[in-house]
Amino acid sequence: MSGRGGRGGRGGGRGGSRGKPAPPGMPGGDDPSLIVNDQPQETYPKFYKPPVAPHLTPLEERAVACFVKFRRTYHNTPLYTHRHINGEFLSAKDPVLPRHGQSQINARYGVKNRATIDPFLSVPMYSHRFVDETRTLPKLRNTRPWVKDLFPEELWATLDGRDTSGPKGGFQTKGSANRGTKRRLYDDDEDDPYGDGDDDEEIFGRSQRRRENETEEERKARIDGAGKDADNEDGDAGDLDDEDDEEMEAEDDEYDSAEDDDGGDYNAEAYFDNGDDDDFGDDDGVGESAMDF
Amino acid sequence: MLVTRNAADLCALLVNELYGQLPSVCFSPASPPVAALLARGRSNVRDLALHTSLNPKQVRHGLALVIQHNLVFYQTDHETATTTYEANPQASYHLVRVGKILDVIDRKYGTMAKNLVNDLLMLGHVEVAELVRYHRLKHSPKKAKMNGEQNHDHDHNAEFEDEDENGLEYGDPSDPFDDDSHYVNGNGIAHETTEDVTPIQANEVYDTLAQLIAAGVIESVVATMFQSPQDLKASVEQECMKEFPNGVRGAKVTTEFDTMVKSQIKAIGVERATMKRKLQESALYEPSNIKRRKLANGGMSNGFAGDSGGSILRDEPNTVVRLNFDKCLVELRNQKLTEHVEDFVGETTAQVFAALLASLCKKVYRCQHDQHTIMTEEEEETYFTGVRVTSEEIFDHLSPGVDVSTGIGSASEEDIDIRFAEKIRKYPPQIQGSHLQGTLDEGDEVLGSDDEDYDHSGEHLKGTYVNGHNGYHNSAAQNGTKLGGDHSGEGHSSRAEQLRQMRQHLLILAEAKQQFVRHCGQNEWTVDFGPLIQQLRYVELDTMIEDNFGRQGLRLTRILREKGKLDDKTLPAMALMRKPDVHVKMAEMEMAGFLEVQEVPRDNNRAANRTMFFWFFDEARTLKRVLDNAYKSMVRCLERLEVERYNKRNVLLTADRKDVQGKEEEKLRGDIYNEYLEFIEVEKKLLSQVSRLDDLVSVFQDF
Repeated sequence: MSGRGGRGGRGGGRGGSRGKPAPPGMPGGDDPSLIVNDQPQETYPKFYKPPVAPHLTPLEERAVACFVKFRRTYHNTPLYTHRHINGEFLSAKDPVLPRHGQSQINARYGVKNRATIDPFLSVPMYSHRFVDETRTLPKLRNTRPWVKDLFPEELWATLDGRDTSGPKGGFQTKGSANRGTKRRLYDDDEDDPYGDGDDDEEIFGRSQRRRENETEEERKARIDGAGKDADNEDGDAGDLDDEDDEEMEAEDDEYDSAEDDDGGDYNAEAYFDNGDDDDFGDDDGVGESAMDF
Repeated sequence: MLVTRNAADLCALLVNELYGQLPSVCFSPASPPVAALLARGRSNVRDLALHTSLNPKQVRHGLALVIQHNLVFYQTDHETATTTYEANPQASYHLVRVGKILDVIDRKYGTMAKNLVNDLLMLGHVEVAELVRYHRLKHSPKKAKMNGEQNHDHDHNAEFEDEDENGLEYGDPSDPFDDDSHYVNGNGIAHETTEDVTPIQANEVYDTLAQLIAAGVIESVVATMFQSPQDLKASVEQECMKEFPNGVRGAKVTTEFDTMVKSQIKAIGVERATMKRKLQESALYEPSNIKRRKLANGGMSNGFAGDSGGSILRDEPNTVVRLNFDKCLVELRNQKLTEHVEDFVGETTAQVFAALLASLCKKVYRCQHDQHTIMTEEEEETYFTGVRVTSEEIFDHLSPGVDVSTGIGSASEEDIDIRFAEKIRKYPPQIQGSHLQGTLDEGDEVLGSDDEDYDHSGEHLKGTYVNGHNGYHNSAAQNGTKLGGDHSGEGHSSRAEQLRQMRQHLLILAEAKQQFVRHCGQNEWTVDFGPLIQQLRYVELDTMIEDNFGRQGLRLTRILREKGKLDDKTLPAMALMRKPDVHVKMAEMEMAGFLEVQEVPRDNNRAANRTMFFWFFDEARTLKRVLDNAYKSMVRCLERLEVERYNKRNVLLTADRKDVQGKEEEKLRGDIYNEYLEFIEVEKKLLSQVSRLDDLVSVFQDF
């Protein structure tokens, strides 16, 4: 009650620049000697001097260097998935480009079709051999031995690279399908436009070592045998070449399936060339082999 | 760790920064990027796919990666065969400390240890044999790695020499001295070893690894570690429930049940620590005089005796290991405390303190315990009784470069009250809520039934003290450590003399207002981490308040902290400030969340002038708020880094090319190189800011 009464008396103090009695409800508001300046604050301070951080101590410098070094090394492993894959990640920073919600961005994560490819950079160029291909899925298979007991069972197929895209992955198909189809399934989703050029950066250098250790005769035998039978006892060594071929095929297929999935209602590419994929696929095939030095 | 939105963002950003986009997307899906797992709680693959709009295959790949790096817990329900995943925010937050951890390991355990830890961070959990193989592959042919051809040759060499060594080592595995020399090579002068082009010896790697496992920096992994502590307890309880078909009712059965659960959990703890204990036992066999001799030669400091550890590990190549962040935190805490002492006391004393911490923390494996922590017996023992070390042990850990005669003043004998100076305090001081001064001044007088006891070992050393050459040294080198040449000059100062001087440093520490060290028995010392860290927290908090609200604000909060809740009439009198000033300040601080106010009406109609207002300082709440702000600033820093990257994307794209990476200076054009350097500078600043904020977070939360 008395709090409301205080409101009327407020005008008295207005003339003074010092301030006025405290508003009701403020702690200590009952004290008449208390003067509060209730003028609105300056929106910004007259001058703003942000405190300058002190220089790095040697300790901090070393720690940061360690961090950066570790990051860089990790980014060169096949387990790293690149950032900024689609333009969406750039558009979040760019005020002009359209913005998308995170879920929209995620929905297009790793999708490679004609709509997402940058026409200026997707033509294979010499300098591409120096650029890391952007990885959207970590290359789990063959990069290192996994301790499977420590993973939940439903991820085992994923670790083997036998992950079908279904809701259950390779979890239930395990053992049922024969080897060829399994690998086929795997390769179907390998979106790796520049082929298998990352042998040299496999974590353990497995494949490389595998070849280095073999003698000249073995190599000959492998090359001969590769065409005939991939599943013989030396099949492991033959695997890689085999994979390359399959990946190239998979590459062609991928565009078909991708268009079915993603470009459903409006297919801009098909507008002029009546959806004829062939030339594009051919181009890509050429590029593929050109990239595979 | 309380997961606020900022904390969740931070975790997602960190994972993104280090491990790539896909795993972090699993962490952070929705448009306001609240982390998927963090926000949704536990979910299975299907739910995650739904929430993140990724397809299940991508989700599974991401999950496999984060499990590999132990960033999530999972739990498989065997009846329905579904697996649920749950984020481990603490582990993902630890990623921010990667740089610091690597650095601290480098200094404490040597370069090879650092490289091993680096590899572990790279690989996640991994089998020992695989880790060693990887380590040798990556770190031995440093110069040859650039071009493939040479790499090839080196690998062959490594392979061959490996076999040779195996032969050799299995030939004479029992000679401890021989092994010891290997060990010294591996660690004391590890810098030279890795700089050489010669490939790393496998047994060196094994030895270092064994040493790290024995020290607790690396731990062996068992399947239970992938369950969250709560899940683990629940599943153990379920198991135990089967033993009680009639249900748990009544006091007696309940206690039975509880003890059963406890013993089961303890068994899990024992299982986790098996390898560590084995290695520690093997390490204990080393006669300590070998270590001392090494110290006298000045070759190396703090030694762990990982003698036959390597061969034990070699016998079990399938043990899976990972980095133990808890222990790394202990190392970081030691570093922080040493800095603290250096600020308050002095450089030499800080080094003595570092030695004390190093010897003390052999047995300390984690900074904080909560009810879910699974402790081994050994840990439990040290947790309840506290660890203590003798002066001798500390002296062994003291790096020989430290000149202990500096940094102590001289006082004549009669000025020192030996009874007081050497007083033994058997009981730790209590942490007294927010009463800062109370802890420091009253200390253990309250408990002090043992007041009269003092350490007599100080007395008989007094003789040497007076006629020693002490005064001369003090005048010469009051300011800091003398290294190298100086040390050799005073070779005549005997071990006993040095020991005595080191004791003086310890006494300084014990006597300091902050009570860095507690003199807990005849020649025994310990550190009460709890109160010390609490104090460190106040120091940080005070600095922060002073920066934000000036000296007056600090004064007011300190008064409130000491007195508890205060009426707004008594406060100005106590602070010796004008009432309006006080009110303005208080309102300001209340709005910033550092102070709280409580209204107590004196009668029913709650009029303002009939109400008492009590100000108080709620430490827990303030800390939470400060922490959240710290997370937020860290998020901002990382986002800023992203913007900087975007601005310089063309330069970075060029610099990231495989042929440019590592030799930017020669490959890049001048102006581009300059821009690149600019970016590096900015990145360094931002990352160091993040790591400074992390220092704050560690002090407030993790130490």
